[in-house]
Parts: sequence; structure tokens; C-alpha cells
Amino acid sequence: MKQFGMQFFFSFGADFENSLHLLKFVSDELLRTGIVRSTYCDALIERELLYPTGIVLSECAVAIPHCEVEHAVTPALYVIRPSRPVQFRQADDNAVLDCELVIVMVVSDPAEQVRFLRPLFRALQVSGTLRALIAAKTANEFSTTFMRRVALFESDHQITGQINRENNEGGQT
Amino acid sequence: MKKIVVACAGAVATSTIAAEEIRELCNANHIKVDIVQCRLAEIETYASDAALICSTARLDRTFGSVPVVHGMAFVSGIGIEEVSKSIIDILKD
Repeated sequence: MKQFGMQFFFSFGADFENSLHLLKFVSDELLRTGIVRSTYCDALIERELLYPTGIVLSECAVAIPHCEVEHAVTPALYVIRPSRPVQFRQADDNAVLDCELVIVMVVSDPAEQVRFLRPLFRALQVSGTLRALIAAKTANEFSTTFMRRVALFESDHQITGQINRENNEGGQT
Repeated sequence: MKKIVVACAGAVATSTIAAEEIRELCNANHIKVDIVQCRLAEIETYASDAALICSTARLDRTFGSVPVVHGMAFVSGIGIEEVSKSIIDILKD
């Protein structure tokens, strides 16, 4: 599924032994579909070890694994609802978090993709979004809930995003 | 013009989000800022004349008298009002 200038992948109800298992699974599929380069898997795993990506959101813990842009071919998001929580270390603390949702972000151009990532996190911050995602009973319900929630904020953001860019261009020239 | 250094592990995702939020926050408060986004390891390169350093990752070192603000709130939404307020307070002087 392609939208907001990104390719979307969803995984619902799969069982992962641990974060390493999950990251390998995701990397394999992203490599097979031409989204990432062959260096991606090692880079993603190493990056998670050095700089973990678990974050505490209002309704549950989420991990957002990602790595440097040179391993990406096309921007993408891989959204995973595992059958049971997967442990990731917390990005800004020493804790280990039981993550009920994992969003692997393939970023090729941060300045461009922030226009989508910001509305994504705004959507996740709003009360009810994560609850609805976790409560989804089927893969279809999960992916449609995700896309619908993000779309609400994406359309809002387009306007402010444009204003911001104009301001910035004005300021820099 | 006040310089703000926004850092995370790879300058890929979380600091990009935080930088955009801070830019908007400063615009709304009519504070002119120059935002530099970088990796954690590069902070020293930009810190000397910065008014503020914001990191979305854990940061255990200090940078002279430059105040450091924790920016994960811009990603998680938790505590965003407090962080926004402290950023404005630091930049206002």
C-alpha cells in the first residue's frame, strides 16, 4: 500500500521470540521487496543495540526501530501488532519496555519524511488511537484503523507544513 | 537569532520531529531561532554559541552553561506542555 509518499506494510498477530527475531523478519521482507539495501538488517540491529528505540506513549509502549538513511532505497513504514508484547529497551532511559506495537521506519530523506512522521506521532499521541489499534481483532481492521487515524492528522499537517516551509525559505534566502 | 541544537542518535527521525515542533513553537511565540539538527556525537561542534540543546535520546554529559532540555516529549506527547514552557522560558531571556 502506498500513501503519503511512503510504502506501508502491516503485520498482525505474528509471534516474535524477541526484538532480534522481529527485526530480522522485517528486514528480510523489506529486502525482498526492494525497500532497503542488503546492509539494512545488520545496520538496524546494531543501531537498536546502541541506541534503543522503545518509547512510552500515553496508552502503551511502542518501539520505532530505524537506522541511517544510506541503507534505505524507498521510504516505508512497517507496522506490527505482535501476538504478545516484544521487549525493547527504552530510548531515553534504562528500562526495558513491553511493546505492544512496533513501527519500523525506513527513512531515506528526513527533511521530506518528517512531513509524514510528525502527523503520525500526533495521531499516536491522541487519546484512543493506540487503544483502537491494540483492540483491532483482524489484520484488516488493524491496517484500516491505522491509515484512517494517520490520515486525519496528515491532512491537517499539509497546510501548516507548507506555511512552515515558506517561512523557512524566506528566512534562509 | 538564537541557536538551538536538536540532537538524537542518528539525526534521522526523532530529532527531526522535535526540531519541527520546536520551530513551530518558536514561530508561535515570535522567537527567531536557528535550528541545527545533529547526532549526539556532534553536539560539541555546535554547542559553544547555542542558547539551548534539546536531545531526544539519553544525554549524560553537559555542555558548559548551555541548558539541556529533554525532547522525547515531542515524540511521545507526554509532558509536551512542560517542555514547551521550559524552552520558551530559556529562550525568552
